[in-house]
Amino acid sequence: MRFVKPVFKSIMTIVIFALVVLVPIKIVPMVHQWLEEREAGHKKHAAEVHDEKMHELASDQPNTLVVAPDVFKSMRMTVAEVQPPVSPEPLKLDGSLFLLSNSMVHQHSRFAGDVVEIGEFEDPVAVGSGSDSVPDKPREKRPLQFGDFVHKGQLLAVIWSKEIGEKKSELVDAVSKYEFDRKALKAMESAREGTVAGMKLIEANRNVEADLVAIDKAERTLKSWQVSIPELEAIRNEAQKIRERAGRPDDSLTRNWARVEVRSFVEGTIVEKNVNVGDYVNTDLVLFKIADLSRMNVLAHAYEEDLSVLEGIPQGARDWKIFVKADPREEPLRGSFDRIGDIIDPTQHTALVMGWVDNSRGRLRVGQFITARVELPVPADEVTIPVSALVDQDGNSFVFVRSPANPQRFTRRQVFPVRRRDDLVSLARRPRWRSSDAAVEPLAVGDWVVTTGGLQLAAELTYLESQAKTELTSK
Amino acid sequence: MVGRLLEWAMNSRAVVILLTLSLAYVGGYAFLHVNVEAYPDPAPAIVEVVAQYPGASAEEVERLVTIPLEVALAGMPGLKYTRTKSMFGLSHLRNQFEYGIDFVAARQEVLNRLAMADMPKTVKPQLSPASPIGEIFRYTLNSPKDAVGKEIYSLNDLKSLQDWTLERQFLRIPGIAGVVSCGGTVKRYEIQPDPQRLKEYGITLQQLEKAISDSNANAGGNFIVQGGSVQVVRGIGLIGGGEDPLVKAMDLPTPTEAAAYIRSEERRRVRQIRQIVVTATNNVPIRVEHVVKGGPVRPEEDDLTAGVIVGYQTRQGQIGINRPLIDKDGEELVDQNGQRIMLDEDDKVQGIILLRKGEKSIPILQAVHEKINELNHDPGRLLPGVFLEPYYNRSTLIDVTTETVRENLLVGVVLVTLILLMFLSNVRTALIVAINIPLALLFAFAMLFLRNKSANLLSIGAVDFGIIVDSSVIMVENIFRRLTSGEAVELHVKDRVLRAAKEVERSLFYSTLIMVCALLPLFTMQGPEGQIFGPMADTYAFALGGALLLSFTISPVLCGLLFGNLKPMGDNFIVRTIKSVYMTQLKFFLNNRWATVGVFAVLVVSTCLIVPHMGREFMPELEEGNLIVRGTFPVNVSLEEVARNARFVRQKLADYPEVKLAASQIGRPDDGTDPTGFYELQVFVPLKPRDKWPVPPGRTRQREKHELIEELDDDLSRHVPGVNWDFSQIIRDNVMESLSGVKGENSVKIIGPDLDRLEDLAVSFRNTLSTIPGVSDPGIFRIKGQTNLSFPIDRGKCALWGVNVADVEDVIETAVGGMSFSEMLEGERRFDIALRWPEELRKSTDDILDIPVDVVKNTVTEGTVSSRAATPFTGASSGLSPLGTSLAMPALSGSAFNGASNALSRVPRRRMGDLVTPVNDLGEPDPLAQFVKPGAATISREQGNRLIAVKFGVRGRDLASTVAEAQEKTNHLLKPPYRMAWSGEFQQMQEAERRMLIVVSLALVLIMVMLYLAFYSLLDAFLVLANVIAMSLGGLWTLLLAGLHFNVSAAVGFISILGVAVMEGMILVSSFNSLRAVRVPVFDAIIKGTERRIRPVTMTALTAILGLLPAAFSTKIGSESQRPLAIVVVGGMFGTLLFFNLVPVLYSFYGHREPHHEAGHLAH
Repeated sequence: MRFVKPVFKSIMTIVIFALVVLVPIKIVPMVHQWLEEREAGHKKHAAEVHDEKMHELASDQPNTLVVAPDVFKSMRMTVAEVQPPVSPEPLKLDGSLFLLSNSMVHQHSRFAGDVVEIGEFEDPVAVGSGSDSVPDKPREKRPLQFGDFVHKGQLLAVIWSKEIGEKKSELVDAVSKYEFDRKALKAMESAREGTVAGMKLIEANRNVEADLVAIDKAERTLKSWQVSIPELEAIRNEAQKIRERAGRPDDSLTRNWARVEVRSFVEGTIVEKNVNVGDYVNTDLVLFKIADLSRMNVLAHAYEEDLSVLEGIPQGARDWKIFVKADPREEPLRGSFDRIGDIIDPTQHTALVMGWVDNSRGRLRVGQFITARVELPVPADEVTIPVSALVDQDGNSFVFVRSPANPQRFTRRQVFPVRRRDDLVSLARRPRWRSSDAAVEPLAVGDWVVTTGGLQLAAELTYLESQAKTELTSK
Repeated sequence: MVGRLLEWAMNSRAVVILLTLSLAYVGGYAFLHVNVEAYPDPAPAIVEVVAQYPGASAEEVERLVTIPLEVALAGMPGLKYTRTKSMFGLSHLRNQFEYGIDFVAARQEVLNRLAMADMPKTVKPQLSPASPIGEIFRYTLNSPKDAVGKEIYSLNDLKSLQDWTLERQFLRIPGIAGVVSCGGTVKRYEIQPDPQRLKEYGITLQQLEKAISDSNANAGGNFIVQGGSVQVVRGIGLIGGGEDPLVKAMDLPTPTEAAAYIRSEERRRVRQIRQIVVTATNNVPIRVEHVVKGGPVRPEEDDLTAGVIVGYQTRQGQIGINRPLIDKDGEELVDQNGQRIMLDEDDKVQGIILLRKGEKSIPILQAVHEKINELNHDPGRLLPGVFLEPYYNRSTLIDVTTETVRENLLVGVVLVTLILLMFLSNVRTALIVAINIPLALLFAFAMLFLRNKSANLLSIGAVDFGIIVDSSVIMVENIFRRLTSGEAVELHVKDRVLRAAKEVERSLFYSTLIMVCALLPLFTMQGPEGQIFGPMADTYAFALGGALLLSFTISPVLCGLLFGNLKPMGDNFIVRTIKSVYMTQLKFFLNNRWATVGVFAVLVVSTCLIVPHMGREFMPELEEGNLIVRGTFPVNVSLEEVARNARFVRQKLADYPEVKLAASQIGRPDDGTDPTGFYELQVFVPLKPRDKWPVPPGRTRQREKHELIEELDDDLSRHVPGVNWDFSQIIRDNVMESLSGVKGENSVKIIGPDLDRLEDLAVSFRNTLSTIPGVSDPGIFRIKGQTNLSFPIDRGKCALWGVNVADVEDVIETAVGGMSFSEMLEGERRFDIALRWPEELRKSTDDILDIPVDVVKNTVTEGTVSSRAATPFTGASSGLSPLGTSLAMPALSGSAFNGASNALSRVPRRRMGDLVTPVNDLGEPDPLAQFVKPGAATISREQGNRLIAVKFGVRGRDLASTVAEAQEKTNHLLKPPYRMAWSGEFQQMQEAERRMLIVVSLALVLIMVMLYLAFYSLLDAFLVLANVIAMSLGGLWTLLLAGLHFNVSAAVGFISILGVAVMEGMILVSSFNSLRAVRVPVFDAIIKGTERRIRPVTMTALTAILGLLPAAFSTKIGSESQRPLAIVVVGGMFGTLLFFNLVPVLYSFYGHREPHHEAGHLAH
């Protein structure tokens, strides 16, 4: 230290000491303070941001978020009113259309024989209908065919039956024999007493009686074969003519001697025609099937699991709507069902549900596939909300209910969906599967629930709640 | 050796000049052609595997795909981590290899292993083309609009164009790894069978599928010879003939005609499908149209809305964009209020072009540009009216950052030259040194080019040319000083130059060796910092080596040529002033050496006390000029709900005038390369150039970017609640995700077995993190929260009917999910043909429960009445009927004559609801329970363990202290077997710090060895290192004053100036030693030695300072990563200047100690 003067050296030593001791004491806290201030600045900023939050927990009500109108607008939040319960999704039963059993007849011929004629059908519209039709043109007649509408008693077919001809001849024969025997008896009775042996007279009487029985038998048989009284009279007359050889025989009677007419028992549509001129038919052959198609029988298959639901519908309310599969765009047809089959299809485990549907417009066809939709009764203890209002979170379902007093307050409330349709959710007023949660306040009709933005509100509420919990714990 | 080189150079001046010119030419060529990247790829080889399993839940994906893949890929050589994500329909595996493992080899190994993985039939794992910095270009497809503003082409058309035309076009450009297609809809021909019609006609789904598949193929019949010609025989059975409608549509003159043609072709195909015969009875064909929804339609109806439709596959995501309308001059159009007119479109098709790892981006970007121009302008390349509109282009960032670097370099070079002129007052001297700067740079470029390496803004921008030319400065300054000193004037100039040059030969050799030792940490850096700064180390080394070579060759040659008539001259005014001032204050300090040492000690102590409180981070964030705004919605949110919010977010973002446009992406690309779901909204926000940012109303200045982010965060958080917002940048985001496996800058991974417990822990962590100052946007990557509609198959119910679980599941897959069974070939394009129930039959829980399930295995017999055959002892017999009668049951309809077919009788059916039963909380079947159950959304795994990640950002505070506080506050939350790992930037920082501590210590030891070899004195060596401490003080305090944190870039700055500090100290000490060697007293030796060295030392310090001063003050894009480095260099060099007295003062304590006789040889 030869370059330094002693006084200056002392001063410098003091200065150095002061610097070595004081500078760290002074500078280090200053830097610390600067760093702390900087951190405090950030905290302040964070606090300011927090204070300005546009959504926060309501301090006086749990599970409640207070949302500023700006947020409501920016989120494009929407709300909807809780609605009364709606019917569950209708029960859809697949099935097909049938003829009403009571309105269909199977027309047979009473006698085997040759078909000589088919009944005629007068076409209601002349040939060349449409713009080419000529109104004054006489209606065309043609033999009946499948699909024609017939009236009750309308001739369907004529059968030439050997059997009936023979029976008629038997009647003629019996009538003729009767007349002869009757005359013989009369002659015997008019002869002097003793002229005719008593035995002969008894025998003549017996012959007349036997003839009467034969006539009666033939007539009864013919009557049972539905030969009309006038026709029987004509046969009798014919027999008289033959006996008396008076005049020419009745040609028409002769021509129709073996004729059997088949006439419609009901008014309806020929749904089956199994006969043509020249056919030889037996009595067991169904010549025509005629049915009334103004009403159709509906047979639908109901799964046995659904039977209790169907049976729960009161008798007066057992209506259904029939959708024709082939024409889904058509309006459904109304009808009702009245019977639920007593037998379960062993293959399918379904029962038939039977009913009818109106077909006065005539567009339904037998055998067509249909779907019958049965509206189910409205449950009593439910409410309905739009499906968009439901927030499923961690196994539970919630909705956000807008406070009636303050439209910016939204309370999360647990709900219990029982049915989820594509647009609506039905909620039970009480949990059906978890009795421990029975204390949950149920939604009521008229409450307003958030339908857009609920998921985000739920996330925000969960976040704020967990933060509040952490803050509380840390305090 | 160096002496010989000097001699050779001085004797072969023409050759040296020619070689220099060659270097200039080659370097110039390399400069023009070398590839420049915006950012070096910091990631090691990462091979991503994507396996799509459509329709499968996260749990099933994990069990059936992820875990088998993990097992198959485990134990690959060099594999460091396997991180996986299992989510709905997607398994994503990220295999991260050790640094140094070749990417191609790693990829091949993964491919080989994939073949061994046991996967479900439909799952085909593929390698993802994605890489951390591979995303270089984004564009959208713009469709022309009709008179009412509706897009003429459908999303199917645009997506098809993107997937089958554009993707192939871009993939043909060499270096493109892939094109990721996002948004839009993937066309699918969908057949919607009507279950009732199928039943009525007795047709099964399998029959329907087979009929369509069998009716969709061409056949070849060889050829026939017709006279002299050959005719190929073909059977054309493909639906639509296999023709591509787009080929003709592209040739049509107007978009309307083209769209109409495409629609008509689709209708034709739909009609053909409808007409396919499934079966025939009595010559009456049953066609597809008979069994689909709505049944047959008249040909003129052309109903494409039901039955057989042109639909689309399940959407994975949606793209929207809100952009300003631009006039012809590229200016934004404004309305009468001066507001920008924005066009918001919320359903676009987007393409992202990915660069192959290791490829050069500039030539590929040029090729992409050319391709886009070609596609947009050459007719017939796209559908009429469609054009590609780019909105992200990496070359913009490269251009901007290159411009920043170029500007900084130019200003640096000018400043360095000015310093030389200022100190030497000789233009020729300054010129000789200055010429070495571009030459050294060109040498570095030539070496980069020849080694096929890319340059980047760090590798070029961080090179301090002041330091690089130190060797030339010392060489030329010494020659200049010798020639102007009037010594040995009798010798030839060449000899005088050679003699002067040889004087510094040894010191230059040692200083260069020391410089190389100082840079050793740069060369040995590993991990991301090694990848980032490795190129810089290369460039630095090449430039340094080039400058050294030039200082031994061209510098003395030019000195010999230009200093021929140099007259003796003294120091100029500046040097004299500096010397005078300096010497005065040095004497003062020497006179008060204890005080000086004391002050220095105080500073060291203060610094040591402050350093632990200094903020630390991994890397400064490179400003990319854009933002990625990521919103994480509740995990079970729907696409539509997020799309609704996305519209608001885009509009909100566009309200900020700094924002150029906002492009949103919901969900993931169709190829599964970005494993996420609808819950993630990612908005890419390119920002306008900083100079175009307006001053917001009510403010006096532009917003800073961090302020913009804070305001955006605040704005979005307040207006869109329930969403976690995160802000990043596109490259940074990808890089951080690749390295940590988690989206977000930082994250804490909680590892443990139970998913529910992990969720609870994550909530606790997030809440704790949110209370820590500096932590921003903490959020959980939730595992659970996905709502599942679970249909537990009731085995008891199924047993009654002989229904298998698979039967029910098939129905769920086909009816609800839609099952592809054939393909529609349209030229090269292939579209699925799928079966799916009509929407109204599957759109709600109740509808799904009504879906019929065919019961094919149940048979009904007459009962147990069985006939027994006769035996040798008994006759034949039969059992009794359990019904009491063997007669047939009555007709179901009540009339045997009115019976009709039972539509259900051929194959019985049950409803889905009859075969499933919900389970309650105890897992027991309970008909009153719900089918809706919570499930997993994304299951993340790392190294085979399940984990949950809590991500967070750090804003306004340094990373290290933030994480330290977070660790302290969260440590108590976990108990075994749960553990945590802090990952992301923090993990990288910790690893980098650990590695650098080791390598820097090693470098210091080596430097000490070098110094010892130079001085043969440990004391001298320590004395020289005192200068390093002085430099460090300067660097640290400057960093602190600049408000920056210590990070890898700053560390590299310290490393860069370590060599200079050592060299300067060495120059001084060697100078003192040389004087002491000739018996000059200590004080005089210090005064004389310092006076002699003050010029070169000041010059080198100032050139180093000024070389990086522009970079230190630059605020332009790309400067962020350089700034800490530059500030440390500038500050450190200021430190050496400020504490320049330290070495002489400390040397003064030597007293009468004699230096080693060799120690003075370093002096010149």
